Amino acid sequence: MNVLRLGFILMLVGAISAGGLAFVYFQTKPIIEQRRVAELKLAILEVLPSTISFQELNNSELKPLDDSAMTITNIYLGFGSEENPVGVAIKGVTEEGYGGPIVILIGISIDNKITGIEIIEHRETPGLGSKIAEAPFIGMFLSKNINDPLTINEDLTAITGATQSSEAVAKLVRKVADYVLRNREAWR
Amino acid sequence: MKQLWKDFMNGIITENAVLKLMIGLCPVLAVSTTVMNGIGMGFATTFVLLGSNLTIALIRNIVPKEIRIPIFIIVIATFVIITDLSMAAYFPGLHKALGIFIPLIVVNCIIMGRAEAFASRNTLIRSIADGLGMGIGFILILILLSGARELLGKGTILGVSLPFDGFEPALIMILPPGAFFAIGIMIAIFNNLFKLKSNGGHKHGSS
Amino acid sequence: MDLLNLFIAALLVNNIVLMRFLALCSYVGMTTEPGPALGMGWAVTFVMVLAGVVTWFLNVFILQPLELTFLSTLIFILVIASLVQLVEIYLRKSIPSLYHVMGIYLPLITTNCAILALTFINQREGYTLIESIVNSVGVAWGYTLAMLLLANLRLRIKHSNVPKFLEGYPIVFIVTAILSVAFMGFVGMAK
Repeated sequence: MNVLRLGFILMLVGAISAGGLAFVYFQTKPIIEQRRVAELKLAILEVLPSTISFQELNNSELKPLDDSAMTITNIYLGFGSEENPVGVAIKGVTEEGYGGPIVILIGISIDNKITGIEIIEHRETPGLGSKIAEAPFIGMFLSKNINDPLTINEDLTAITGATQSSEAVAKLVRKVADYVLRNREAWR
Repeated sequence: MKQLWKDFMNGIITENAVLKLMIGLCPVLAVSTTVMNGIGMGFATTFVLLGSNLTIALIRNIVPKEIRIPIFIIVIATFVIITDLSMAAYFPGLHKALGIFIPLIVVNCIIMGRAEAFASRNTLIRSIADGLGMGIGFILILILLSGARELLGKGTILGVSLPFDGFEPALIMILPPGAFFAIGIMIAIFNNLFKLKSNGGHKHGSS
Repeated sequence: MDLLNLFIAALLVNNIVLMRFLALCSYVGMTTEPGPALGMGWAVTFVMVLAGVVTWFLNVFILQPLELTFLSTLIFILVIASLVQLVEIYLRKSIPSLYHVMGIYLPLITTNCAILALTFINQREGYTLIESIVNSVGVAWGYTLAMLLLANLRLRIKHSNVPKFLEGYPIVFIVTAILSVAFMGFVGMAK
């Protein structure tokens, strides 16, 4: 009898807690979703500055990269005024980082120029590999044509003490550039 | 009033959870790479601590003794999830930086410890004073430690660079070894300053 | 990621104590001698693998389909607390010899943040059941490794001349900092 009573009290407390949490969850869910969308919009605008609106390509339209350590996760087509395409923003991830996967958003304009790169996530060593997210390194890619080599020791320089992190980023950018070169006609 | 003041100061100095009792260390070391993260973690934990102390003091007389621990766990976890969701909605940057350590507040021994040792035995108002004191004591440690680590490891405070040149930050301070090194030195300084032996019961410096 | 990499990453590269700052209460509290440190290590391994499996099923078959993942914190901590209770009762009645070895450490495990952290890591990384188990064993042995390293070092510290300023816990943390420097060397090892 006592066990039943205690079980009932415990269940009651659990139910009150779950009910309260469900309320908080549904209150905060739209805000969290909104923030996520706003963040994405901001990131795309950052790498593809002339974008006014964008449209995400369907998952089924994504073709895998020819490298098992790298994947393209999202492709966003950017449009300017009067629905003119201005370029693409491609989110990709590489497993070849020093401390873990690196997620990058790369903007490529319709005339094949790299318009921006943003490191969205990384676990590289603070102060060394983490410099891949900073302006001096990212800046090297800007305004380069996707037909350029985009390779460390050719037209790019690795960060001192973080060769592996630098190469991981450069290699992913190179692969994404190849991908764009192969598929660009389909997106016009 | 005097009692309340004593309850409040208890958590800040006499029984400071981190330095004196060696509990709640995990989040302190993990998030103290920048002062901003430290402050965020401090306030999140204080909110949960206040909420659980308050709730438990309110229901302490109707909770059957046999199942008080699971009920405390549910109460604490509820406040942790509220904190987690609210931070994701209103402070997304901080939420991302603290990551897994926000839900882990639920196993921060300080909170369960205060629920069991204080809030389940004392009045509402005293439990609030205790929660505030413990929370502020926790925030102070986080600010001190993250301040030292950010300053020595990055050469900045709250992201602002030092006003003079020539200081070369020691990167290791924001890497994992730096956290252990910093807390070791900090405990040593406090032990020697307040002559608090880590297992003694002396009461000092409540002014 | 193949399983060996996952295991090495969990054991060394992201060592739960020295690189991720978890389970520090028991790390400083239970390492005055190697014996109890090892007992704690076994108890944590046992509960971690069990918790890893149970929370995987809960997550994949209940929480995710019903979109209740926001309740994970509450549910996982309750699962761990009940698991610890059940294991304790079962061991005491059925395998007294094993209970003798790790029984006294079991109640200390509920608040061991490494176990809850492990269930979150498994959930957030979206591991499969096999990956979750491998990760759980890796994390648990990483914890045991750190416990044993410190416990043996503390035996030596006891007989050495520690500066007065650093006596007690401070020297333990300084030693841990040095261990952590050594573990930093593993970063970049697992791909």
